[in-house]
Amino acid sequence: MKYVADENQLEFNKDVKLLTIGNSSRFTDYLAENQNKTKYGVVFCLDSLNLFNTSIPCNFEFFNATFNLYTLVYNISSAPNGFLAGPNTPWPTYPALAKLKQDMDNGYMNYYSDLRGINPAPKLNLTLQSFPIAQNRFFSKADVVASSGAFYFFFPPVISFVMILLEIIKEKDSKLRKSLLIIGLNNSPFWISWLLTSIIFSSLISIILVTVSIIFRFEVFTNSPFLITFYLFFLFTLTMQFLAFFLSTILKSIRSAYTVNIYKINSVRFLMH
Amino acid sequence: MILVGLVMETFLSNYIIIYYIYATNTPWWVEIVKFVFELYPPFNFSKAYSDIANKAASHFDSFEFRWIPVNFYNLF
Repeated sequence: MKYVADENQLEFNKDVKLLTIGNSSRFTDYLAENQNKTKYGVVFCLDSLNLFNTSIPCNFEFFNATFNLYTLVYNISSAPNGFLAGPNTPWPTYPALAKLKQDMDNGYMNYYSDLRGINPAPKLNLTLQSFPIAQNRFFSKADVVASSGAFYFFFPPVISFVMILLEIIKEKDSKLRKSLLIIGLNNSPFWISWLLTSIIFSSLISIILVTVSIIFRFEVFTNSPFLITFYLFFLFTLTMQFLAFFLSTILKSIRSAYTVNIYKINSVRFLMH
Repeated sequence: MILVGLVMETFLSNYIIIYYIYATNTPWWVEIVKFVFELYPPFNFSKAYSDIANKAASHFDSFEFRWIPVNFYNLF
């Protein structure tokens, strides 16, 4: 232990000192009576070790060799632990304890080298590395775009739905369609013009959505033909706008359109969340 | 209308719920729910998107309890 004290520039008999002699219970009793005063303990065993409900034999005479068995005890409160660490973070190592183990082994080799006249005494070098980083099995190959893409890709068609709905109701509120009747046009050109607008809107939204998704290498889009994903969004956006046409016959004033507008703002806020 | 769509998308963005609704051994009232939902475009969009995503991208398998990568042999 003097070797350990010298190696770590600690004072022998003060920082590194003898705590108890006798059976194992005396050491555990000492720890119980002097809680949080001992950072590390080295328990030397000559016969058998009964420490913390564990019994370990220390006498191996039948091996016909010298055994020096010791156990390192440390204060777990001051040891690094994985509490509140990320699930993929490897369990922390305890370099100070590893250094104590190295010094103990080097101390033994130093002692026996002195006895046998070996000079200089052999020394163990220590290299410490972290525990392996295990890949999280649950989130391996996880794809957010595939799992919840339907939720996020829902927004562009809905925003076009709100725009079309607002514009139609604005025209309805200002009685634009009736002014068309005055100049000799019937309802068909009005709806055909909105249908063409919807088709152009839907095409633009779909092309932008699919192209940007392919640029970002989303698997759903890169592994499926362009036409399938394009028609998926094109038909959905068109259907939403047909729903807007339908709603425009129910909603009567710009006031109700403002209500829809507030919902739009809410939906954008929801998206930002 | 939009908020209804948002709530529906929040619940149905998980394809497992949609496939439960489309299962064959469901109670009678699920048929009614399915009929009502099918009148609203976001529901059909969720189903179509999930069908494509399950085939074209890695998806979560609730039996194996892990993400299954794309099987390129059965893709097309």
